Amino acid sequence: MKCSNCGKNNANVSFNQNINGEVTNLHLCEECAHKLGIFNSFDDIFSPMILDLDFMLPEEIKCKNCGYTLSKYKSTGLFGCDNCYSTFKNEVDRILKTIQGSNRHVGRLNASKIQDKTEDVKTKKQLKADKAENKLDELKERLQKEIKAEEFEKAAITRDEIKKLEKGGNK
Amino acid sequence: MEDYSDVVLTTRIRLARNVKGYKFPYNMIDKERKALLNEVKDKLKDKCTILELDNIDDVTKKSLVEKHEISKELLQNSSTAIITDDSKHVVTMVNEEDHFRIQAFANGFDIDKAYENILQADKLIGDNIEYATSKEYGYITACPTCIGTGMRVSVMLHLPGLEKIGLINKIFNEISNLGISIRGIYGENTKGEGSIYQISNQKTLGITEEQIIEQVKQVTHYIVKQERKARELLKSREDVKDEIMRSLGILKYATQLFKKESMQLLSNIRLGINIGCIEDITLEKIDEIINNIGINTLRKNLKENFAKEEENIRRAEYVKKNI
Repeated sequence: MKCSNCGKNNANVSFNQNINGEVTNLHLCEECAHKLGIFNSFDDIFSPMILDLDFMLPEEIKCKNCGYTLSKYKSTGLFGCDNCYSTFKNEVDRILKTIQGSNRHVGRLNASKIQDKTEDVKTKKQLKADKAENKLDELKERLQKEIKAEEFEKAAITRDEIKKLEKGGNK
Repeated sequence: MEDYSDVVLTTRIRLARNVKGYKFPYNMIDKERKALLNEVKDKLKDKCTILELDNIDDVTKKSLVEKHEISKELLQNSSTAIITDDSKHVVTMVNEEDHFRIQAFANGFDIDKAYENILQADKLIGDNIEYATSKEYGYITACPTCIGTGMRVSVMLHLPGLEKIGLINKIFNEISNLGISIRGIYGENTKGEGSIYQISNQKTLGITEEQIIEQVKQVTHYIVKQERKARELLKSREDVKDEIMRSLGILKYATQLFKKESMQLLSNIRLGINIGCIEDITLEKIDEIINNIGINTLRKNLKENFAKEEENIRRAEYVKKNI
């Protein structure tokens, strides 16, 4: 169908004109539709093409405290607030490793209010567990040796010790 | 401790600190920066002197920049302040890149004194305001290059000897491999004006304050030794001696002196004193002159806001009178 205005181009805009209840259907080309002020371009109408599907895009993580994003960090080299460091923790660890060669603090932090006690208890427990693990490995190794050497009496004692230790560990 | 004042001009330590829960200064609008400043004033007003930059005149502010007591960047932000004590050994900038940039200064290489002073200032602020910290990252800063200890130790070095025998770049390359950066007197990528260079630690995280200080001490010690060796070689050179004495002539009789030119000439005099061809001028005097020839410092000390066109004349007058 040719444009009903210029008669030259193919019509690709269909337009219903309603004047006092009398409806006329016009078929126009894009150029004429633009000239007549009906619309500017398809680009305008369809832009953005995926208006409501933003949620399908991978959303950039924002800092809950200051609204900062990682792309903002990349353009400024600075973070937005102290909370950014926990929000972007994985990335921060990587960045620090590159620029500082390390990503953990050592030394003084005496003005902070951080409680270290719980952490210490955990570490002690951890140490104890590690120790038991080492002992267990040692005993198992001994057991193998004793079996090989056919020292079955000794092996039986070792086996009992292992059992005891394993039971203790499971408690 | 051994006297390094023939090579080391000044030593400074800086600690970067932030207040828990606030955005970093450059990420704040003026209202927020103002609110932070008010909280700081509220909590510290009885304990130290807080001067808002808005209440300081332009010449004084710019003079402080010339003397490296505050940074250029501080002048660009709004709602900024400095916290100082009467001695001026510690000057803390408020609302620079971080909420607090605590700086301690010492003449020569008195790094331990500067450390002692800065610990006190850090404690004073930290006891009254809760810092942003984390167990993993230490003291939190806006820029990840400062995080952890937040500590930067810088030493200002006068290295005309190594420059003259052409070994300066070699020594710089070796230093950078040790985690120490080096730059000209006015910051990154500037050439050492008047043969003055600044070295400082690169790393601030995963290293303790004591280790940072020890590293900088070691490297400084090494550079001082090499610079002294270089100067020893220059003692017998007639061309060097001639250049030094000509410099003295210009400083004593010129009627106009450019800043850069003056720095170079004063640097030559400083070398002359150290290799024994100038005896009637002290190192302290030269260092004082070097510190006072910026246009705004001249204006401030003369108590006269003279026009930019008069700068070189006024500088020549000042130098002539003081050398």
